[in-house]
Amino acid sequence: LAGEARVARPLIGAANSTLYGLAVAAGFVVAYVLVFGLTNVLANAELTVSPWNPETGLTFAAGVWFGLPGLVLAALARVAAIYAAKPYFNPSVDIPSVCIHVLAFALPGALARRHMALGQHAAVSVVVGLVTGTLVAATLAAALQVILMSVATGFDAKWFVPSVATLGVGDFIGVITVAPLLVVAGHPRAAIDAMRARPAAAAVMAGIIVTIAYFVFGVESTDQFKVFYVVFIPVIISAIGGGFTYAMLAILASDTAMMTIIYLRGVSVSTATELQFFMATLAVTGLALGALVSDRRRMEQQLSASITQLQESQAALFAATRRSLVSEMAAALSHELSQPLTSARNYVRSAARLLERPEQDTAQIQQLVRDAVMQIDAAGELIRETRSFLESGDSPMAAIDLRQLLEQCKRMVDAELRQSGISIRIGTSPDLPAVLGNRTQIQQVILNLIRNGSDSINASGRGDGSIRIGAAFDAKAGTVKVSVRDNGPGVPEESRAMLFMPLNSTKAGGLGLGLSLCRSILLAHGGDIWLASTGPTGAVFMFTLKPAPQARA
Amino acid sequence: MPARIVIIDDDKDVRASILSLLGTYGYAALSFASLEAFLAGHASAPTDLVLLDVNMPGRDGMAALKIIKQKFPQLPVIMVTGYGSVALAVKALKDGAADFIEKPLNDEQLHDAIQHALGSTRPASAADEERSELRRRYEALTARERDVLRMVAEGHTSQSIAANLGIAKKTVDHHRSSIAAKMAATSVSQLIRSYLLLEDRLKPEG
Repeated sequence: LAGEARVARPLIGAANSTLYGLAVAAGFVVAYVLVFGLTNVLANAELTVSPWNPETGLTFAAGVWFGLPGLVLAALARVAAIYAAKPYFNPSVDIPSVCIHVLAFALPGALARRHMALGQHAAVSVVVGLVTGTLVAATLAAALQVILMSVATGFDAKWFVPSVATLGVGDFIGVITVAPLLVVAGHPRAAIDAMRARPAAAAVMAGIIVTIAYFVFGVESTDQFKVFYVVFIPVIISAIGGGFTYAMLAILASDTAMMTIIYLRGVSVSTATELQFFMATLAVTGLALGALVSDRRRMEQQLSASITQLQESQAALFAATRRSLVSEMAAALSHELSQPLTSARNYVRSAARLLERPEQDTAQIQQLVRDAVMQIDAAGELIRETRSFLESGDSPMAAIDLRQLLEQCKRMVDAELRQSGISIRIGTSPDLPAVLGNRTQIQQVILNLIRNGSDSINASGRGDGSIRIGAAFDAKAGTVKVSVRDNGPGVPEESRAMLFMPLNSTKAGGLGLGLSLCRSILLAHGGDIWLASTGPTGAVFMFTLKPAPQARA
Repeated sequence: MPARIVIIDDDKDVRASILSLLGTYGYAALSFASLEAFLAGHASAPTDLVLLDVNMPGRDGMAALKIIKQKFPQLPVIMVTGYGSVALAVKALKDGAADFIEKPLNDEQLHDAIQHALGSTRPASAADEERSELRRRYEALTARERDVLRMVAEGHTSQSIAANLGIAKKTVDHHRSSIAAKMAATSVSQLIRSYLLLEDRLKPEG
């Protein structure tokens, strides 16, 4: 499958050496002659024409690999192959025949070379293009070849259509069986890579294919051809298990095995056409199925890549929101610290001034120092609490004491809310179980909802703001339900529908990420969040969490 | 008779600590948690000066300042804040505050401010004298220093002054310390107060 993602590239690649180019061209000619000869040998003597022409696939590949120069190369290779295979060479028939063949199969390859790569296009669209294009080219070429032969032998209308069909289907099978492996899968090496990636599976499959071919065509008792459909099984399994490249390998292996066995047993197949249509059907089925499987895998990969990307951006968003929360906390902390520090300084300065006096009231000075120490301790407590919040970082999923977490959130925002005249109260039911979650994230959800409530109250300008948080176990649903209620002006009607969508803020300076972030955090926890009620007297947001497993026992 | 000072701050620890500090300076101090509590208790406790916290829940200190100045125009009010800005100081002074001090409090500075504010209840001739003294000092500033002083009083930061005048921030800081020396100002709020007095935006009390 790894090979399928590759982009088709010329076989010669970046090599600019003439010698290397000549070597590749010579190799192509030799391969062509061998394939052509072997096919002719394998074709049963009783069959007038070979049922498949795998060398036509090479002609097509020449166009894809070498472009227009590939036409010349293919023509040379074909002339050499015909000359080697037949005792005689008839220039007046064979040269026009070679020209028709090259124009019909190498030229489309040269023209379509840009579109041959999987990865750029869906495999199914490449296969559909290849199959229909080849069908048209093979039919036209076969018709011209038959007419050309008629010039020498005389035209016989009775044999025209069967001859065109036999010749055309042979070329069609040749192209769609060989070309996909050589060019569509990206590179000839893709097939080798695919077999190397799963050597055991490839060996087992090859064994199965040979066995089945023998069973279908090699054993007399099975009455050849009656059980041909068994041949489909390894091709279909390969397509489903390995996608396009494996389907192609299975088709090529099946065809080769069948032809070899037919040749070795010397069995005459009653009609070449029967075998041909069977091979064509096998190839198209394998191609289509393999392409579908490959496309589906590619889509799955893309999907999982986008999901990963989504998760990454969500993590970044979470970090950014957390940073802004931390910086707000730092501002609040600096204000909070100035209170005990002011008091402590005042007490110490008072003590110092009393010490400057001639007669000293030791008891009073001691009291001042005690007061100062208390203030310094209060400042220390504030710093400790902030640090513990910052350190909680990325905590894993664990059982969380929700009551304690709510109290901690309250302590964190209490001073800030008091500045705006907002009181905050927490009410929890006695049977509240521990919840399962990421402590930092749940904390962020709660703080976000409190912040939303206080922002809404502040925007309304009322001086008696109140935020009430309730948490209870919903035994019927088996969830823990938390509500955050404010007495602000409520959520405006126009923003209710899009409330949990990102980038949809009604606040000046707000990015609109708060509630959408809360929602994705809660969904990831198997919970949910919604606007339970709203009106001129305030808004109630509710969210659910799952109880921690051991807490319910 | 010691001066009677009222502290209005919502934080009881800050209140108590200022009370004890002012006690060591010999003031008769009294504290309230809110403006409402002060207004309710004012009749029974005649007051010479108010120390008012800017950041309080409910009604904020700036609104409280306006109410106090409305009811008792003669009563000097010193604003105290945990996080101050020049802009806030300018607003407070324009609204009639006698001074503007940041927490944590420096008690010597607080004492100076209280003394100055209590002393500002004096005859018109003294105020005139102060103004002509300031005028003399202002004359000594260079044209660039006057620009910088104006912008400081308008609430600009050194950064924004530098950007506006097209000079380095370091140069602005240099100008500011030179201005402070020439105007004999020990704090930004004093400097702003002087400038407002010169501009005649601030009517000297008395």
